[in-house]
Amino acid sequence: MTQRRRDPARSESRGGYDHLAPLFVELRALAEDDPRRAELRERLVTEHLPVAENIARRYRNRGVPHQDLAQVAAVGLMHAVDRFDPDRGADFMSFAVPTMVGEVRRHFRDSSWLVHVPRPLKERHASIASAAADLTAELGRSPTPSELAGRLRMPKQEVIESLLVAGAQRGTSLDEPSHDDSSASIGDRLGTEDEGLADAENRLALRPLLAALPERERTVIVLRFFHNMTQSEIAARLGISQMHVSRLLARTLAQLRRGLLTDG
Amino acid sequence: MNEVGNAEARPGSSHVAEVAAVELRLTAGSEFLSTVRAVAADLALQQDMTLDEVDDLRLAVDEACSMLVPLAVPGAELRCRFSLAEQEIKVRCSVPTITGELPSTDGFPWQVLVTLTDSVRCDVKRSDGDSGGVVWIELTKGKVDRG
Repeated sequence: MTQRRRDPARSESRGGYDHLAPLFVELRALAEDDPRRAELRERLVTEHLPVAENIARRYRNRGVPHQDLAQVAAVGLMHAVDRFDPDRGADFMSFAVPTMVGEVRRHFRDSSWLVHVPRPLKERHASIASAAADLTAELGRSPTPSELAGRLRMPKQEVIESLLVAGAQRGTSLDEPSHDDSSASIGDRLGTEDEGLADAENRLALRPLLAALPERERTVIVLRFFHNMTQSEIAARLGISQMHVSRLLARTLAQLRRGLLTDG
Repeated sequence: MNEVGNAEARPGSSHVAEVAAVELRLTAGSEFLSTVRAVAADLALQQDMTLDEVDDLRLAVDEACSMLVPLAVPGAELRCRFSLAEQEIKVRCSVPTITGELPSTDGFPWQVLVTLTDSVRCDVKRSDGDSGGVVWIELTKGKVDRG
């Protein structure tokens, strides 16, 4: 296909959008309340949509519907249009493409699977996660694979395989509703003063490292290693699942390890 | 450097009868520890440990290996021997080191190991070879009373 500078619909190369560059300058020059702002903004977003589509297509076949990804990329595009400053000298594409890719990646990280896993497996995992939560409440401890298999009338080996797949999906969310990610209230639930912790922090020279952690990660580390609570107890206390606690712990320990190493 | 033969006769070992064992040998590098973690989790699940215990073991093995890797002679082999018994899993991780110096037992990483396991210890087995000796960490994770 020949690509011509003045034909954005046919072209996804950077050159195909050059004629839109003056519109950014115009947009920036308009007053905040100028009605033409919305119009210009919409035109810029619409004209660049093929780029968002293109980015979404690059992430196809990973278990997220193309339409969802195209929307997420379009959101990234809108952010890019709003934030782009033509005075900085860079062209819009070199600013917008990373913004859109970032938005798509965040979507995978937050709400989805990093690699494609067949849907039945994902559903099976959801039922295991929910049975695990029920059994933990009933037994006062986390269940074994046999107990899960019994509850779900599923072969034990299937339960084990499903749990192993879940364990390999570090950093993805299998079973967490999005409200689990509110870290703000955890400090309230935990309480702030903790003298035993202060001792340990001093003894182990941990204070700067712990302080650098996000609050939820710090809370999980403190409860597990200084209050000796089990993962299930922490999960119950924080209102998140045991598997979520497990992922947080693994990730944070790795992070602390890097910190301890670099600090000598 | 012959560790494997000593596994049963080691002084101080508990009297728990080993039912089966799995041993991994891999180049001592942090990039290979995901294999060790996966094996640890699989064995713990196969032994029907609780999900908490499975995760504790996985994290503990990861932590122990992560303590050993920086001590290793470059390119040396990290060994992890998983010894399965009726009520517990014992893991012995070892690596030939340059100096024979033991990992610190008063820092946070050791506290992590102590918290996650029922017992943990480390020592060095000196040898006449060119390395400073084989440093090992041995940890045990038992099943809680299922009552």
